[in-house]
Amino acid sequence: MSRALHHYTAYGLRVQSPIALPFVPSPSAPAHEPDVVIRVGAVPAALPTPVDKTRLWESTPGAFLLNVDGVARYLVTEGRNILVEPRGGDQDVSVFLTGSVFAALLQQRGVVTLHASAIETRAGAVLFLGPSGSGKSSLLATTLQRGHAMLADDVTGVVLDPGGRPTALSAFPTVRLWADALDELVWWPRTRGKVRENMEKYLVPVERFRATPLAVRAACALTSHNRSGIEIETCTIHTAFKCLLKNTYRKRYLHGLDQRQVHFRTVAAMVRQVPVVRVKRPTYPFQINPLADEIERFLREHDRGECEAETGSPAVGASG
Amino acid sequence: MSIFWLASYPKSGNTWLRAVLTNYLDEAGEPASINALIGWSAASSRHTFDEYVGLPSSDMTPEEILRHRPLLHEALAEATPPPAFVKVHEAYVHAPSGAALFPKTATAGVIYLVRNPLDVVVSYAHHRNQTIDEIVTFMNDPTAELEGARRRLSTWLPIPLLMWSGHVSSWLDQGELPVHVTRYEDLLANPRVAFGAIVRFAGLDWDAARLARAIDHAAFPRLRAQAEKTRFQEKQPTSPSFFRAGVAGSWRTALCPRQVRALVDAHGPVMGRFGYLRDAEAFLAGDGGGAEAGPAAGGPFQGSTRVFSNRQA
Repeated sequence: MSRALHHYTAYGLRVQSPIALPFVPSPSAPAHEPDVVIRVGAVPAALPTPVDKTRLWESTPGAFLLNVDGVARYLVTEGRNILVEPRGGDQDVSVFLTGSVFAALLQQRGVVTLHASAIETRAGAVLFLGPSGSGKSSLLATTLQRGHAMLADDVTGVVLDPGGRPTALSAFPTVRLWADALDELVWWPRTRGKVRENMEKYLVPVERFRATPLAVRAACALTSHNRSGIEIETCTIHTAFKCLLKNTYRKRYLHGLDQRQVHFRTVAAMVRQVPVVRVKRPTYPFQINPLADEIERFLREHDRGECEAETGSPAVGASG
Repeated sequence: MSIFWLASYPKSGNTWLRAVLTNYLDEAGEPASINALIGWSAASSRHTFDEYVGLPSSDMTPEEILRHRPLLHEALAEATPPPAFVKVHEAYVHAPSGAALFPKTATAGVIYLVRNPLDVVVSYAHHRNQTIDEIVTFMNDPTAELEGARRRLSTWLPIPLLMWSGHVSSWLDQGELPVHVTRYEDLLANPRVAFGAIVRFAGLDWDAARLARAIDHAAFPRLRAQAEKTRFQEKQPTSPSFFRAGVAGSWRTALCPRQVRALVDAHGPVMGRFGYLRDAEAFLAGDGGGAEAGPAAGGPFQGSTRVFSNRQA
């Protein structure tokens, strides 16, 4: 059975897929060859010579195999091809394809996959890093309400541009929000759909979206504490490095893919150029607006400090 | 390698046990920091799940997460060098596939702590800043779970807890994993004997002087003072303090007969098995239940510890 082909853009890549994805649709048939081709077909039971192997996934340079029980089996090769053998509905197949599977593909292409959402500010991209449940998407939604544009939700791809500057890739214009977080955003469009049938988590399309890459200006790691009040502290280069490694999305895939060195190099360049701050907020109650206020205040002060430090230098803001 | 699960219902001495084990392994002159205790709940963390299983738990249903928990525990066991201790409040339950959540292949043993549920309710109400009645209802709910909210995301995975007695029976009657069970009251009454038996069960090198120092470093007033001074990370933000009293028997003044009755009705047989029933019934009969703080000796549960193993089950 043949399926109609969709054409999309995500993380700066042209994607051709027989499965509907929440990526940016291309208005017409693209003039160029796609960068990523997704196909439906039989996925082999195992890789011939895996370097790394768990019960659910195996990897080797250039190939990654993932099995999601009752949903699909996926094979990602050469940062270019994704073969899918569906066992469940397209909606479920798409969830794991846009998450773990696309992360493996980006890693094969040498892109650093950070567990982060990202917004556009005047001075560059600001990343909100943190594990599941730390508030990345809620903070993203709140800053969008305040007029910023989004670059990515959940997984932010970072590369070094030709000048060696860390640059955040533009992912796709959807935020995934739990019902509780959505309740606070009453004005959002009603066109949202559930991420998966049995979950109170929604895909919310975003209009204010930046579609091109942007130099990273700061990374905020979201953590919580059992005290009152919000605390923001700037990491040393050493702790910033550890923090970015810890907040790498699917870090354990990297070893088998032989991408750890590339990853370390990019992260090391990033912590030398970009401030990484740790933002601690009370575990309970989770109040999103005071958190957004504090982060905005911190970034304003940080920018002012940088301007003062660089007074007299004509190179402010220019690329190196 | 494989893991020793430090299993208990909440507020049953798990953190105290972790503090003693940490100080025993540290062998330092100073008490170990309570924010760096061994045996944190790695198996219940969403971040650990996502990285070790390689799938996004936040895109998975509670049933799918449960189905993958045995894999998580095997991967954790493989990645953790000995001695591997992991705290769990999860009951010993099975995934929808029928597989045990805590597989034999990932397990070195289970160190189970049990505490008089009448005292648990008092401590738990304080910890969660809820009323005694709310906690009694929770402890009597056979479907109880922690972090089970379905409309928002927590950094923790859903934790199946069952009702209090269901939790105890699930671990002690499973017959698959070797279990060493200790009463909280015996840790209080005779810490050297009770902690000593745990140290031996965990296969750690035995040294009586080292244990005495570890127990001293983890003494209740010291834990509490450290928690207040260094802001203990595991305290709930709504709770006035994590380490409250550290004693047995405070239920006698904190609970009314109706509340004691509700717990006895729900958990009588398991309470009886650990010697907690006699005092509760005496209290309900109106004679105050005697003056001693701990449960009376001579009940069906004699001695401070007992080892359950596959052979005995």
